[in-house]
Amino acid sequence: MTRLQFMSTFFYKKITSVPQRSRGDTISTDELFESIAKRWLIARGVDLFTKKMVFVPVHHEFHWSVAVLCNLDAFLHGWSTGSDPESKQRPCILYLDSVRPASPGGMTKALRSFLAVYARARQTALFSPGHCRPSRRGAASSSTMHLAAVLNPPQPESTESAFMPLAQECRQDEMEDSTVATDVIDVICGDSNSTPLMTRKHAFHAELDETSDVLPQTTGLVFDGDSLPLLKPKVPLQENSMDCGIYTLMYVEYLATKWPESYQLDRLNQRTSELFGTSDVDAYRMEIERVVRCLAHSQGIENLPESVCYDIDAADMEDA
Amino acid sequence: MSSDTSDKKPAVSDVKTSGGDQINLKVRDADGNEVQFRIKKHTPLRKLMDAYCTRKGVDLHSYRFLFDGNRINEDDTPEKLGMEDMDSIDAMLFQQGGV
Repeated sequence: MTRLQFMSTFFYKKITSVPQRSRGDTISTDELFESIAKRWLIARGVDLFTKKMVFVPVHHEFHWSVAVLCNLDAFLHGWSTGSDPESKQRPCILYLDSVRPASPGGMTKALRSFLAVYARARQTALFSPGHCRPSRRGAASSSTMHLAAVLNPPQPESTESAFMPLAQECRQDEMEDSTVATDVIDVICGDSNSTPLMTRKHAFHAELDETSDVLPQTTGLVFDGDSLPLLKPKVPLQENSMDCGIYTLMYVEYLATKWPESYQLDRLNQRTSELFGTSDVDAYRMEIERVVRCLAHSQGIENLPESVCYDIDAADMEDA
Repeated sequence: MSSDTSDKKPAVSDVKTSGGDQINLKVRDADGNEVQFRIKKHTPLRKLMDAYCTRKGVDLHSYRFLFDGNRINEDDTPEKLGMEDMDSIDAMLFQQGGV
């Protein structure tokens, strides 16, 4: 099973933001990370250490790119710095950028540091029931139960319907062409967590009340940031000054749909460099516009601007 | 964070324990600056978001507002989102990308 997680487009901004200054109190970066780990992820039952790929959209200086945390689940199976560096399933950070050769300064450090704090908060939530703030919206379960159930799901269907809506829908064997595009656009638009997720959460709470005594078998997750190297595979590069978003989405779509677990890291470089061509980009741009307009329509947003720049060839084809 | 004059019930310097129907919410930006608002639990958060943008002197749609990482919609209320007294909202600038 492919397990994917699409992070909010604001996640990267948040973990690289200045910690809050509140009435003279300052909080440390670790405290900021802990707050994000608990409230953005753990309280919602998101367990990053069960994922094969965690997509982190990166916005930096008016430019979009994406970092992908790969094979984090290896840490649940005892991965450490001393593990086989040639392993095909080794954890790493992939950075895919259509313009720049280098990732934003501090990106790798921020991601590693966040994961270290997240790993600790996760352990605490799993093994110290009641430590975390009770979950919201009046439900009885604690975040401990969310994670426990995700790690050790009582019934596959319940997990599927509750907490991995994006990931589950992206399973390759069930893929429809537009699914990932829709999901990613949804995430890019920052609206991935509207009412449907809330509804699913409520359903999940109900499931958990009956299975709250189930705790996962995993103990002692050790996360070592040094064993999470940064890799920059070759990717197609944009040829203009406006397509970073389209290229970023195409990288994500490619990895999410065309890179199952059997595609090993050592083959990635070769494959990504020939992911797609310019004509694919043109078609994808039109597709994304269609998806955006559909999403807007479905949400009652009618005042989108008209397209100002159609691809001539593609427009001709539509007319024909 | 001191308050200023505004017709939207802005921050107050001495936080009172909110009554049954009102809660205090903190809105903070990516630079760590924080503004506090008091709002009724059934008031649409659109009012708070508009007040924040007005206070910052920016267009109403310059910021995306997040609660625990989830985007806040205009019609959402503190009650609907399960907000509690002194909870924090993130005000994130719209992330224009075009390079």
